[in-house]
Amino acid sequence: MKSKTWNESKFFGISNSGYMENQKDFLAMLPRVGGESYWISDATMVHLPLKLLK
Amino acid sequence: MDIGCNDGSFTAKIAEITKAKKTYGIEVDINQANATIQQGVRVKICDLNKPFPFENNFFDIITANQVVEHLYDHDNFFGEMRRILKKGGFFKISTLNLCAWHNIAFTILGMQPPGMHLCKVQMGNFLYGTETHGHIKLFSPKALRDIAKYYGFTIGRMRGSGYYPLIGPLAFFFSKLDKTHSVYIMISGYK
Repeated sequence: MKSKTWNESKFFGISNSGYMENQKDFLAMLPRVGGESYWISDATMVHLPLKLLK
Repeated sequence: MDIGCNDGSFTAKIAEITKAKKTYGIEVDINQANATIQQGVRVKICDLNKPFPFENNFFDIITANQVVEHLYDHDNFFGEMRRILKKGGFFKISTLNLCAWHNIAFTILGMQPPGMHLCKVQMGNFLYGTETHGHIKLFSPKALRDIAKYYGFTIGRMRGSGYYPLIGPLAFFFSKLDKTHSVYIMISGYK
């Protein structure tokens, strides 16, 4: 039995599956304490205020 | 709160970016939980298929990065996430995409999608015998959004990343253009 680990991020030998990009996006899209974040509704594409962490 | 915090290194980055005064994690693996403590994170050991050991309306932000695909009880997961998140609190979930082109291609060819694991090694495709990561369930983008809505969350942004078989800038471009078929999907929103 093969012992190597198949990794989703290196599928077909392609290392750029988006895993690192996913990690970066995940961090980039986090809200900041004391600030006001904004989100875009996929349905309406309208910017709406999202008040957080008052 | 970082659900499924692993060794806490990514949790520490989240805490730094959000400037969180207190950071918590839940982890099922005791060794990873011990590593998380070294990152200054308050961690509780818990099976994420069971009730979370926190009181109602406790957290401002909840994150779960590459976690939900490892669980079997998503009614528990989303219900508990809603219970412990404050009203108006923010959540973010990221997972693999069932509708990614490589999963579709394998299915069309009559093979097991490689992101959906049946046991500790790959079965039912040409990757037979290679180790897996214990992915129990995969979500389509719509299903991920629907289940979050069903449990009372308002959904904000959805993003995709990775786009087989493309690489580099092309993969980046198409994953944003056609997130329905990207390798990874993430949603965020609030309670």
